[in-house]
Amino acid sequence: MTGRIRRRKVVPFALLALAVTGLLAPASPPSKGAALAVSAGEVTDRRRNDNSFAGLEIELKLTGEASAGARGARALVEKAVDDTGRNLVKEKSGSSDFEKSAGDETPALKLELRNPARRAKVVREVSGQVEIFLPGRDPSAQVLAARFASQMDRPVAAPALKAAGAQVTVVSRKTYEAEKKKDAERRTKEAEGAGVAGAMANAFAGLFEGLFGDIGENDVLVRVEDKGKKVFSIDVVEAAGKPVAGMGSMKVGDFWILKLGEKLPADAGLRIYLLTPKALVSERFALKDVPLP
Amino acid sequence: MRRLPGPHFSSVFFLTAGLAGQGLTEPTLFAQDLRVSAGTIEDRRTTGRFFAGLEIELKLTGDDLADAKAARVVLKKAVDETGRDLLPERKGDEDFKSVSGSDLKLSLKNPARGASAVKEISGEVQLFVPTRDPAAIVTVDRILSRMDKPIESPALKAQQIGVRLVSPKVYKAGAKKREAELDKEMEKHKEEVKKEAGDDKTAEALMALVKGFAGMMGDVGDNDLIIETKDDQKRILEVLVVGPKGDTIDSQGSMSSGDVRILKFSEKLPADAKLRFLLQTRKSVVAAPFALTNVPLP
Repeated sequence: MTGRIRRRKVVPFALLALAVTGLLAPASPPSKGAALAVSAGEVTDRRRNDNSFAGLEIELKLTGEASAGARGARALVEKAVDDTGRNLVKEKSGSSDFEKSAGDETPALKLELRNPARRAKVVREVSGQVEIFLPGRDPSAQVLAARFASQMDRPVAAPALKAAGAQVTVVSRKTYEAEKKKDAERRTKEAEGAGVAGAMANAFAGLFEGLFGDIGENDVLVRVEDKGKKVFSIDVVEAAGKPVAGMGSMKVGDFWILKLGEKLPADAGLRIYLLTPKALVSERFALKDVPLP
Repeated sequence: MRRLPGPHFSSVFFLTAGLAGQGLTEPTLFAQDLRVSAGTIEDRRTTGRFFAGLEIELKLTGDDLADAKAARVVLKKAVDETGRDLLPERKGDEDFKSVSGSDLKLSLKNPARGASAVKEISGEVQLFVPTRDPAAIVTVDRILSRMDKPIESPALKAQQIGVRLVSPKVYKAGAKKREAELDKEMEKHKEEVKKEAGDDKTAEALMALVKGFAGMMGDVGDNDLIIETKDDQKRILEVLVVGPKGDTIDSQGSMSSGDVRILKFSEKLPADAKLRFLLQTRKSVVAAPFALTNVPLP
């Protein structure tokens, strides 16, 4: 079930007109297109009489030149209908988050739809847009903060970060401990002022702190101020640029905790990936008559 | 009551080879007031290789549940409205499950996509009611003084059950031997697992899972109780540690693999702690035939 791709018209006519009249700065040239094919992989129709966790899931397989080197991808469904005419698009299906690639593999995408009719045999059409993050296409999509241990508690200085409106700061353990202490004191003070209810709230805050606030001795704590959500991911890398295998990461508010099993060398760096227009490729997809299990 | 017997590694794949035994006895007693109805239904349909099937939760109500500790379902017929037989090719899980939980579930084959109802599901619900038979509850006292030798119990012997308590020290000393035996056993079943899993990668993942679980079984604390049983007829449904007055001493969890089960304790058990076995006997199991018809499919 392979749908050929039609290139998305990146710059609408209205914007072109504005650019011509000099009211806008010149737009970035559209990303150079490359062959990308989208096909249906595994299809799972989970049907339940209590409606919890029910839905149709269609795996999208991305192949072709453009899929190589993709560090992330996401899909936006615009139309999905089964052969009985039932609309399968979920009511709250807005823009989804990027799925990240595992190692060199192309990111695995899954469309989450409503259950088709029981008597439906195929999904007559599912179409929309796939967006792929290809950092190799834009030098500004990667920022290297070399030897970050020597630049703790200071924002990483890089024009690409500035252009993206993002600020990334590696937080030292000293600062983290000091802030943690201040926070605990503040909460205790507030709880004392609020009586029993405050004590209860304080206990819960302690619980959350246990879950999220416990940074391991090898972990790297990074503050990411990024209102435009342009920071895609952050890797810890060796001096030679090779990524250090970690144990994943988690985000708590503006803070990213990069979990690491071993102590980092002093010359370790950070590679920050940024979602820049040139590194993002959008393509339309349309799959027809996807058989239902 | 936890699922009985616990998750042993053999169930990962040796069950599929039909090597596991089934529990004993046809019950001779019948329930007077037990009603069966369908609860949550999930029809998981996939073009993938795994986890497809129809799962129907059974809800039990009635006076017979009052003293029941566990229940299980023996299925006889399951067919959708198109006439498709939904009984699984391999006999499903017929272990007794807690009646207080919601884990009494039927695992069936997917009905036809176009079927709107299951025309009939019928079989028998069996309740385990240990208070109905004095022979179903066997207590062994002063367990801490019985380490590393077979337990002499006429009541257990009468039901062809052998029990030995293994001290953590002795158990730890046998770790290497057990590991070697497991490797040998896994090697023996390697091809079988590959065939079952469909590809080498999945087979390796399954084997790693088994190995991982076996590793957990090796992790015993000094206060843990390690119970080795010989119970070919699978009569043992639950093992509890109780105090001198019969009050249950709660464990921090348990795990089992093959004939060994480990009850985890954070503190040393009292010297007068006892072991209570709940055994499935002919008189402790009551049956209730049931039939559900025209169960709507989601």
